[in-house]
Amino acid sequence: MHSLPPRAEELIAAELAGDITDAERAELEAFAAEDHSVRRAWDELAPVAARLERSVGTWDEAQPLAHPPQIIAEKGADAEGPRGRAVPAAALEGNRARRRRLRAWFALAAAGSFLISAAVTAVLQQTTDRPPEALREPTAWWKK
Amino acid sequence: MGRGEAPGAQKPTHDEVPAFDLSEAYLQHGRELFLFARNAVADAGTAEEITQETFTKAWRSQERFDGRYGSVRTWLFAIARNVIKDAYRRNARIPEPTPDPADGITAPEPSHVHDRLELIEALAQLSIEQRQAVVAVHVLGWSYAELSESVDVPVSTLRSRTFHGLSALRRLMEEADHA
Repeated sequence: MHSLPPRAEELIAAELAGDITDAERAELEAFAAEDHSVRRAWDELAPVAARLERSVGTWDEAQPLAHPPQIIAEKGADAEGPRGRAVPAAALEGNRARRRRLRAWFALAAAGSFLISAAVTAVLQQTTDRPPEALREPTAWWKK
Repeated sequence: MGRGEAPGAQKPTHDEVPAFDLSEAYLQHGRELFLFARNAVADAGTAEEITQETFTKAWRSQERFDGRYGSVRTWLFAIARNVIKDAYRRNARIPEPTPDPADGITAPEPSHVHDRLELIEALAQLSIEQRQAVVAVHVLGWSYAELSESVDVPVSTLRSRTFHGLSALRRLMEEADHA
């Protein structure tokens, strides 16, 4: 937008708000007669002012967030490498993959431990089912 | 004039393409985005969720950001606009009591929603001083004399701020239309 005299800007703002005296309006018209940019500025800003009055209705000058969003808290440190540059999302994917692999190893270890435990129990069971060594010789009981 | 771009968000030369930095983006634009969301939806909790979702989406799709074609601010606001529209759509799917015609309450027209969002988005990006003047005079209907008394700033200064605020709003809405 073409730069206008500060006084012309003030008068346009007053006229757009409908908050202008007759003397000020006459002054604005004098500006407009001298410089077509005044009229152009009015034509450009009047629709914006009208839209504001028609569509917005209210405004809450809300305070900034007390805490940054969780994404900043979670990824902020990871997001900045030593040079303060964002690391690619693939790096985070790498972390997830590592966690998945760790979970798989735990599952495998748990299954292995169960199998070993079952095998040991079976062997012990078999051992206790047998008669004591002293009774087997010289004539094993199953040969009788 | 309206608030300028952050130094890091200036249009770069062809060779230096800025990467997206999540923490820096939040410091530069977090408040504006929250203000946009807060005035687009009914409550602060939803606005916080929208802000969170905007930065999460930006983080996930940061590889698609190309600083040669637009600023981080423009990109983040475009994401926020879509997140807010999604929130509107989700809300529209929740059945609400049928309004009594006698109340004079009618569902807003989609074009009205778009118009309002565009204005709120631009308002959120003004400097605090310009926004204060524009909102008081053109949204809340205060006179310049009332505002002057309230904030202890001369009427001529408030008129000037309003003029430049309206000019910045116009420019920001044009930018958003072309983004």
